[in-house]
Amino acid sequence: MRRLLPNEPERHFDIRRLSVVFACASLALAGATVWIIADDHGRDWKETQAEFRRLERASVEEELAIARSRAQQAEVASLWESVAREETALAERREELDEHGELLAGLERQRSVVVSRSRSLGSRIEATRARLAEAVVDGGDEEGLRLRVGELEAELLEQRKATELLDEEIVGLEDRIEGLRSGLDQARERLELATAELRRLEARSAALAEGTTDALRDLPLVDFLRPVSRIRQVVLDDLTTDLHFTRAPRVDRCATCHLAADRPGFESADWAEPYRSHPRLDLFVGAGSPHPYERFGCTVCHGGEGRATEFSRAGHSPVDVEQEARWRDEHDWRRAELERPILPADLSEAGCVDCHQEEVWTPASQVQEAGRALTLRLGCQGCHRIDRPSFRDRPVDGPDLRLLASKVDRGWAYRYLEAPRSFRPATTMPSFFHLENVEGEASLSRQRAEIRALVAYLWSLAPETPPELPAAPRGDARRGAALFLERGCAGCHLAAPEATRDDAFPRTERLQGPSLQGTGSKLSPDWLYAWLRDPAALSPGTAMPDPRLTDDEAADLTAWLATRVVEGWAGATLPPADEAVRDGLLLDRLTRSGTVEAAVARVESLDASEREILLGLETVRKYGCHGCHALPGLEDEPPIGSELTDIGVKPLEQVDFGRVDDVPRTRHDWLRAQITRPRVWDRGLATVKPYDELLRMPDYGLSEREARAIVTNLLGMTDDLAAPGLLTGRHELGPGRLAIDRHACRACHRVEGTGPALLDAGVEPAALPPPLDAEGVRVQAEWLLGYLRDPSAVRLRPWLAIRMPAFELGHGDLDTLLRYFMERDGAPVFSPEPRRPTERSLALGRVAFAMLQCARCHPAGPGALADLTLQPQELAPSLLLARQRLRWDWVPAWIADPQAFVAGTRMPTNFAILPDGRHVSPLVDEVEAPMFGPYRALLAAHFESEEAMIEALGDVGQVTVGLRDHIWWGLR
Amino acid sequence: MDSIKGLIDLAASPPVAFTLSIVVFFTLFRSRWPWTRGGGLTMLGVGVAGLVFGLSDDELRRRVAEPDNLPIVGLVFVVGFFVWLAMSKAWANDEATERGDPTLEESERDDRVLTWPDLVFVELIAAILLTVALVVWSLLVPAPLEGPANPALAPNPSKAPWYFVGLQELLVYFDPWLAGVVIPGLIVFGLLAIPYMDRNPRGNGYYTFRERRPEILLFLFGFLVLWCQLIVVGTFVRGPNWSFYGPFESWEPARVAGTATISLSEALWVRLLGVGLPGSWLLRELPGLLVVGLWFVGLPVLALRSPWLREQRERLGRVRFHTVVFLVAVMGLLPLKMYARWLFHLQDIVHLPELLLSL
Repeated sequence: MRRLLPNEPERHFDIRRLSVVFACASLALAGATVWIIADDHGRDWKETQAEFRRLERASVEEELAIARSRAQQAEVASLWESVAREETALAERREELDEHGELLAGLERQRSVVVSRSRSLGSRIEATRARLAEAVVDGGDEEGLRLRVGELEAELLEQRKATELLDEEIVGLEDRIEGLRSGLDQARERLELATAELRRLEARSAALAEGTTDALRDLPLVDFLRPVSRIRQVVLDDLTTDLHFTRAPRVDRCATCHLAADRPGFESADWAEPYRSHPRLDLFVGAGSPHPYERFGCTVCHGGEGRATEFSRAGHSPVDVEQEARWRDEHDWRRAELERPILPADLSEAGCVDCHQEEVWTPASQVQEAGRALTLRLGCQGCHRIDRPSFRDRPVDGPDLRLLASKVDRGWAYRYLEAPRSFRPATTMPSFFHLENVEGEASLSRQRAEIRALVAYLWSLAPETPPELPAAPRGDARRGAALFLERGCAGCHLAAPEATRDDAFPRTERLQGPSLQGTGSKLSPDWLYAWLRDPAALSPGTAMPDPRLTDDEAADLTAWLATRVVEGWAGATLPPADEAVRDGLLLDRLTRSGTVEAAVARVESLDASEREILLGLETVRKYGCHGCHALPGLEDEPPIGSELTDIGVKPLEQVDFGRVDDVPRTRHDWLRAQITRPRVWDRGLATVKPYDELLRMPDYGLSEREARAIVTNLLGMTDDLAAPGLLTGRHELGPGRLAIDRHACRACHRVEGTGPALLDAGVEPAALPPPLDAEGVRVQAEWLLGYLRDPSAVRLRPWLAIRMPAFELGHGDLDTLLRYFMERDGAPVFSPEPRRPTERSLALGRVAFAMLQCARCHPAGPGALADLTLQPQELAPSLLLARQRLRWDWVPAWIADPQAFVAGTRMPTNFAILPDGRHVSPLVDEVEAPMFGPYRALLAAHFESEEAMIEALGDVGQVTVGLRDHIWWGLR
Repeated sequence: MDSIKGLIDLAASPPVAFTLSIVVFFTLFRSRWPWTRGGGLTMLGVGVAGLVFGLSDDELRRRVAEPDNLPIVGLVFVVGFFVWLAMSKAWANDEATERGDPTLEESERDDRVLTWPDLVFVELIAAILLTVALVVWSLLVPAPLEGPANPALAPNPSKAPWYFVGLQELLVYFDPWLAGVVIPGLIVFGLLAIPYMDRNPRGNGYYTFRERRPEILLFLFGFLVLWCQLIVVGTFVRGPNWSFYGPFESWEPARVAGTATISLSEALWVRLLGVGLPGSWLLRELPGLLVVGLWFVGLPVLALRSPWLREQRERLGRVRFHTVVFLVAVMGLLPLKMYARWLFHLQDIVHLPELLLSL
């Protein structure tokens, strides 16, 4: 204890030591305060921005160095020299120039005096007029004032004349000065042009140069003034984010780090994220793109928390484990708990769905588009309600199973149900049985009983009298194989023995029909023949159109299809029935919807085969077969799966990962696992859960890329609302595009730039059916209607081996398709009545028709084809059909510039187009040629002079109208 | 290692853990050693070792290190320390009194210092250091913010703020009306009433245990075993679906919510007698009402045969005495119902939806 001084009161603590402790505590508090500021001030994005400034500066300096060295090269140097030369030349005439200059200055001064005087005169005239008006009304020196106005006006006129004289002199003088300087000015201009890049770079370098005050500007507390590092954000009032209680404007700050996203020039491999340009600036983010950054931001497509400026909180999602590991390492990455994290880069096309779904086709997002088409093709909407344009009200489109009994035997059906892809790897029929959640003999025997019951049920659907099948005539299998390609079957059917669905990816037209693998092991030749002759007769409402084959062709194709067998499928038999298992399953199912007593009574009242059929029906209900196949009595059954309309925002908490720990806890990983391993969540429960409660989603055998495409499309289905003003897509075309998909038009035709699938199948471009570009504006609606109803009425392109099949189109489909073509091309439904042409126009057309040799490719007349020595790819439709088929008002425009309507058409561009857009008629040049003689005679009667005739021949408008008129009225 | 964890998980199952905690509570307060320096350090060592051992496990570390749960970890140690401090001083005083020496407080009675600087200065320093600690804590452990709340989607488990987790736990055993309104009201009322009920003048101005044993034990039982323990249980042992999970057990997959529970009336009339529930609710709930009556009236009357309690009644007066007895009976309902629920799946002793009353 320290000794106390006499007057010092006693202390419990040593105050000096306490003061030291107090000082330390205060220092700690000060330190903590500094720490707060440092923690708040030091943000990752500031470092990112500084790094980008440094990189950009280095890159600009580098370019600048190159530009500078280029500026010293010979051509630029010579430009410098010529500037110097001109300068010396001008210096020699300095005196003359100065003299002119002085003179000009004097004149300008004089002019300014005159102009000022005129202005004051003008105002005096106004004032005097006003006084005059007063004098007229109130009385006064009216006469004197009138005189005064006259004087003033005369004076003003004088001044004006003087101004004009001066102006003339000034202009003359200026011209002379300019003449003296012109050499120098031009030389400077050339130099400037040559060094523009250099100056641009110099300016950028100067703008990027680090100022001495930059560090000060970013200091805490002063950084609100004009900081160098600052948040770059865009506020999107039209695109809101859902905060559940309210919707708030979206605020995207992504550009704070992704500094070059909206700027071109950062595409090269030198630039790594976050410093790269957006890879598709023409479509996204770029100022001139349809989705500029200022209006759309980033998160509306990519997802993520736009307000966050910290790597993890923004919701970045890695594509794979390597990226994840790298991010953990570099960015201390954690998975953000966001409802919509940023989509992994390989799924980012999901962002297109919500805004573009009404348009149905989104060619710019190929993966998502493939996903949508696959989802439809695989029939997900059969079991899951998907209230979205592509999936709403889809009719079931699986094969008609009532025909099964007449096509195959029970053993085949059993084996196929057991494992469809073992018969056809490309089939869209999924596997329901013997999947990973079925373990143990008890479950296996139940599965066998279910399959047996399904077969029995399907056979019970067969009509009383099987369809009469005429015996198939013998055909040539080799010719049949060729026909498969020639007749266009390959547009809708895969046929290679080892084909998988991936062979059609990303387009799905070639999955439209079943794969033709193993037809010989499945169908009898008689059945095949009957089917090829008229599919709708066997199965009304089938998607397969009448291929319009001749008997011989059908026989050849039948012969070829019959040769396509899968080993080991002949003579498959049903396994024996296990009655106890069957009755047990049946009782289970019946007791679920009724009393036990009733169920037992029901089962007992049935004989063995009836029990099997009833179990089959219950099994159909369980697995949802009616989602894809039309089955009597089950048309109005509700879909068995959960709704997928907003699956893209399904909360992860509502998703069951079961005991599976090798699937990351993200929505997209769950979806991917769900569609590729649909029963995986039963892991460990296979022998625990009651049999009927095991998961029952079937396995579609999806490939990696199919799964990615489908997940992309599913993830896109969110509840985001886009502002109507931002939706500028062509939504009215959606139904038409769906109809085109439903009938697989793009199997054979190019529509809106995609297709035909036949091209992928290996058909020669020359043998392809015509593209349907500009179809709406090209043909008459009535004709198109008639042709779609019955394409056999006319052979438009007799040289094509592929024939337009006859579709069974209902009124709705016809209406949708016609409307689609007309609306797409902006054509009215009714085309104008043709007007009777003038004789002159007809004559002009006739001459032009002959001179341009139109008939060379367009056979005119039924027998014409035989006479021609042309190759098929050089032929064009008969012009005799034009009157009924084409739009009268469209033909001249088409003749003038065919490429404008159908890119790549073989129709030649006869009228060259100048850069300014004018067309040039080649006919004028021919006027002097000797062969023009007879044409001149023909035309002379219709023109008053040679000049008028030549003018008409040179006028593309008149010539094309003449050609049209000749085709309409002259070719009779 | 895994077998130790398995053993701990087993011990954490509610009936075992709760029984253990009661046994430990009374054992600790019967003996002298825990309140010596050695005992305190040993208990601290056990706590720290447990924490370190727990942190070595990924599953538990995630739960313990969660920013929300750090205060609870602190609570365990802070509450433990202050209880130990008070008890060690109380024991020291009691022993001094026994020897005839003055208590610690008596020996210091004549020492006087000034408020400033001796008190205020130290308080100021403490305030500064606490501020520094809070600032550093907030800097090191950022607030666990999540995305915008979705009213259509409750997180599973949904936990109350830590100071309410104990009350939330009551909801498992009591009708919401009781657990949410009546019992919290009685707790507040009981705490307010303590100065009026406690007529024992001993321990005024000095620590003592011997002279206030019933008062201290009664209070600490409620505070430590029934309040703090429930907070710890609710924080670390309750998982998805509000099921119990051992500290080392994974929350995934979520355990299916507990088994079906029954009421006393159902157990008696349906299960035991097999006659079905009587139509009249009075008859139906008569057994339950009898049990409750016995608990609140019968037990005290029986207990009054004990001379010590009669003496207390004399000391406190009837009104005070019966108020205390009532409050203690309410407090005792909690362990009663917990055991009933765990052992017999018995949820309600009285099940009276007709009167919106269940107990």
